[in-house]
Amino acid sequence: MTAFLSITDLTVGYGATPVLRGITLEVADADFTAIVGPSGCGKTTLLRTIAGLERATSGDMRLGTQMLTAHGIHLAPHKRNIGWVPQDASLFPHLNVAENIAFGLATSLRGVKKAARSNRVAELLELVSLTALGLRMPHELSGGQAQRVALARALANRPQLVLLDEPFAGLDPILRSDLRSEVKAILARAQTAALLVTHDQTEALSLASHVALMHDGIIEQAGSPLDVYSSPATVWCAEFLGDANVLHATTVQGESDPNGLNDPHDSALSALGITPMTWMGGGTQPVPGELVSLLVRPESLSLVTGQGWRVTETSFAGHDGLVTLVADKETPLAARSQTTVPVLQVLVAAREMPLIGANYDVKLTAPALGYAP
Amino acid sequence: MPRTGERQRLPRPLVVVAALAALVAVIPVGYLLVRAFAEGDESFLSLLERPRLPVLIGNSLGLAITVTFSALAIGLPSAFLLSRVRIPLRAFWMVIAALPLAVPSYLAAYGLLAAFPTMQGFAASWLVLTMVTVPYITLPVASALQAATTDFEDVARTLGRSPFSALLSGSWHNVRTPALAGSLLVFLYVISDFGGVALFRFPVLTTAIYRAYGASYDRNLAAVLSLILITLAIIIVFGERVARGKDRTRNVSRLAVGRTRIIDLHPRLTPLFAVLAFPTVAAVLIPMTVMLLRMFSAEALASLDPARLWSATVNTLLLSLGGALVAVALATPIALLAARYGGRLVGAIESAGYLPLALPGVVVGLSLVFFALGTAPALYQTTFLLALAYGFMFLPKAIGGIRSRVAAIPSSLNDVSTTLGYTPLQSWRSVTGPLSRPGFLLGGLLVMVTAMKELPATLMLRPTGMDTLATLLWSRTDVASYGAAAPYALMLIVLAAIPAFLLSQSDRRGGSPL
Repeated sequence: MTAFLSITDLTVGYGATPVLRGITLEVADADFTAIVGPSGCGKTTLLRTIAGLERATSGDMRLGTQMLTAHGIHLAPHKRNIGWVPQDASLFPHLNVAENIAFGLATSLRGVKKAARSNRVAELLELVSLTALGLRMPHELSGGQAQRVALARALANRPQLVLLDEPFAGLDPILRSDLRSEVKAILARAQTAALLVTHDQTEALSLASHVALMHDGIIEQAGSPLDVYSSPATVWCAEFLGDANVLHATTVQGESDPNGLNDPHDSALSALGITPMTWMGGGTQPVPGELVSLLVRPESLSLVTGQGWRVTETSFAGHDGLVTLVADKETPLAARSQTTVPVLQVLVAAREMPLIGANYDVKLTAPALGYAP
Repeated sequence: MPRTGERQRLPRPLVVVAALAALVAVIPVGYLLVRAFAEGDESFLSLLERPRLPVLIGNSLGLAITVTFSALAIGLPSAFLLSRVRIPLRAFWMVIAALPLAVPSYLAAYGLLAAFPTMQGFAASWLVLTMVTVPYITLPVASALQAATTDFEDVARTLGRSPFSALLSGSWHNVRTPALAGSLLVFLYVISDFGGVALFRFPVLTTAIYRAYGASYDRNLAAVLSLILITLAIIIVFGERVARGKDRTRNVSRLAVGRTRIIDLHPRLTPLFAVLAFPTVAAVLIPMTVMLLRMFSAEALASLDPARLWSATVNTLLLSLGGALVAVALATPIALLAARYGGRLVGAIESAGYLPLALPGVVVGLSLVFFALGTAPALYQTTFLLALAYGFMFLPKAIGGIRSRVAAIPSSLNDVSTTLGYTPLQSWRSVTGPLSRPGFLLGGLLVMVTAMKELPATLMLRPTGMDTLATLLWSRTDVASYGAAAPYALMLIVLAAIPAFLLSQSDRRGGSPL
């Protein structure tokens, strides 16, 4: 399938410091893509550039058969037919709900008032389950209702693409998860491609069929949610998407593998002992003895009887809990490979929460990931 | 995402129109400069050596400084009483605090003279100007104190400060900016004032300019005096800007929860009511009562000419309406640009729009006389030129009213309408225009209220034989016919009260989130 929205080597900047550098991104038709990154990474600027509200300094953008930006020529934003759902909904305060939804169906206030009584608006009100609220004014709506109106307004013109700029950020947590699944269903029913910007990794992973991780104006990794979570391209990606232990390690010959099936380079010596390692760092595989960073998710570790690690902190989260351990100095393990005392975080089931001060050994249950140090 | 001005491309047509509007605001001053250095009977330098000059400057400055301090001395405690103490009939006391605003200085001075005919000179001018300028301090400081959190004061108390010292340290950063801005307005009011000081025969720069203008052979002197006056005003405007510095409260107040604790009325605070009421009693109640009493004396009623009162009322209304239209027309492009964009060019255009703040009415009148005589003599002494003078003098009020309203409209609304297929012009007609309409109304009304009471420029620019309420009132004071002037004074106050009432109503109805 060819890409529907295709962005090639896009740079956006003001003066000497570009906000976005060499962004390349492809979005398939009727796909739900999330751009996720910490605040200030440039993701909102990317969205505004796609909408045409900011101008790219270089790069190309194509939507369907339409060029948005090419060779420094920009299609005017009001000719793009791209839906826009801003963070605060930004409903027009002088128009009621139906008129807000009808806004894109006309180009004057008189036309809008007329269009507000059309079948299309009734249809959209039904789509977002707000049929009874057509005559309400924006200040009489809850945050979730306002966002649904903003979504209906963006969909009114049957846009080729809808851009959602952190639409759930201002809502309380319970409302947020309800609205998320609702918005996903509405967009699926409308069969419209959507691009969501968020700083909330859970939101991105749970909603989108495609995730792009953005950091400091570049896209670090793009792929399916499972892909980016289980095979992060960089240590930053791994740490941004969830808790991660990063350990100093050196690669070793695969002598720990009794069957000799693994590539000998795919093992590393760290505070966890010699463990299998999947190399994610790109380029050539490190030769034995080379320093690497070893990444292990807390859920890839489990506690077993032993003395090597001492529990220093537990943080209980209901269904499970996170246990922090340090390598116990009196054991020979701690003397290995590094000068600082290694610290590990392990995810355990709620009923298995250990006591602080207890000693355990830690066992790896999935391969650790290796990166350049 | 916050959007800073420099990031956006400026819309060229708007910049051009705004720059032209700003240019209109600068032209008269340019003419003044030309005139001051033009060849006349005396050169610029020899005019500066006149022996009266230091006296005039000293009087203007001395009066402005003393009035500013006395207005602060009355205004600050009044603001505290209104905003931080649980007082009965608070709305009533708010009105009392604002009332002197409705009374132009010459009207208050005239009413007091009717009651105490011997009042004269510095002390009388100081008293009247203080009374009519106190609201410039009281109102903004009270609203700042009301909006500000008392959390800092509570923190100061827990750190061992006394209540008074905690009030000072906890609220000073909130009071400083509005108090400084208010002081600036008071200072500018005083050095610009003409009617009040003229009635008390206290010689200052404005009255000297008017006199030199009247003696038509000495118009270069009038221009030179005007330049001195403008220079003083501009120094003060910049001084205030430097003193204000950067607003450091912004980041702090974002962290604060914003609770404002109101204290109970302590018997020791009751003298503050007298402080609060004093300006209104002295500048409004006494003058109005005296004038009412005089008006109903037999001879005054007999001399009342209803036709004249009616035509002066209509003239006043039409002229101030014209001024409001001119001001709004000039202010709109400047305000739109300033509300939405930043950068050096926009800053320069906006500053030019605020320039008339530093221009006393006498100076504006004089410069427009020079301008009309120099470029289009047909304009001289026409209603158009007078309306232009009003529009120009009170341009900053219109800019302020429109700008704050437009700035309050989130720019994301425009982004949305753009993505929904609206061109910039269609967006303006369907979104920004309708939403900022109250700002235009507010700006226009503010200009009207002020223009109705304007005296010196009206005296200099009005068409021969055309009278407004202010000029009729003024001509009656010359002959000390207190009763005869009373109807005009009352009508003026009533007229000025109507837009003021509309303003307060529009404020109250503003229930929408904007």
